[in-house]
Amino acid sequence: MLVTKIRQYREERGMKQSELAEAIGVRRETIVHLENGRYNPSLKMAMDIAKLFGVTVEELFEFTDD
Amino acid sequence: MKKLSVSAYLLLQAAVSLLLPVFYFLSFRVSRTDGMISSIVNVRFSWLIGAAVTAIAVLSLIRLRRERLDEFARAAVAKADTICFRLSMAAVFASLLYLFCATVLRDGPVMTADVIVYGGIVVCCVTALLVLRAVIFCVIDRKGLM
Repeated sequence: MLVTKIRQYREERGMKQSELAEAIGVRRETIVHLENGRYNPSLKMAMDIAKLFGVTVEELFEFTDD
Repeated sequence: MKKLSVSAYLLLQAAVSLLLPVFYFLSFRVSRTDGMISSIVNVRFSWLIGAAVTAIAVLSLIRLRRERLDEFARAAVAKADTICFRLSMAAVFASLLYLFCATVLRDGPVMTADVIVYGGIVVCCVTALLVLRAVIFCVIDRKGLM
């Protein structure tokens, strides 16, 4: 299972979901699903988000055994 | 960049497709003998069917050309299309079976009433699939892909 810290990083930077969505060129619904773990992003999207937050993909996403 | 509501496009497409069966059955005027359809007198309003099909095609082209689908929307549309494709195969099989029964197993030549009904089944299947596709997309868009 993919666990993401997108919400944590987004809130730390005071961004809204719509702002993050616009910054990486997706719909707000996609960000909602990403944050709730209901969608696994492509590598490109993961790297785009990581680059935006200034972190690595490994810091942003974590795989668990569940 | 403002993202287009994909649900709106698909629902509009489904709404237009609902007109297809109505236009289809409006387009035939038949003569009846003892309450049974005996022959097609003429075909009318066929331009309405053409207009509806054109509207559906134009909506599809606009959606594809603008390429405003993000990767989640693409995945959701692909999943809806996959489910509908499987159902469409079942619909095609049922339609072929019906055609076989209506033509080969019947005594005598193909009846015009059968042709009307067969066409109606095809039109209804297309409409049902387009509506179902829109509904499936909306459900996935709300609930996610996991």
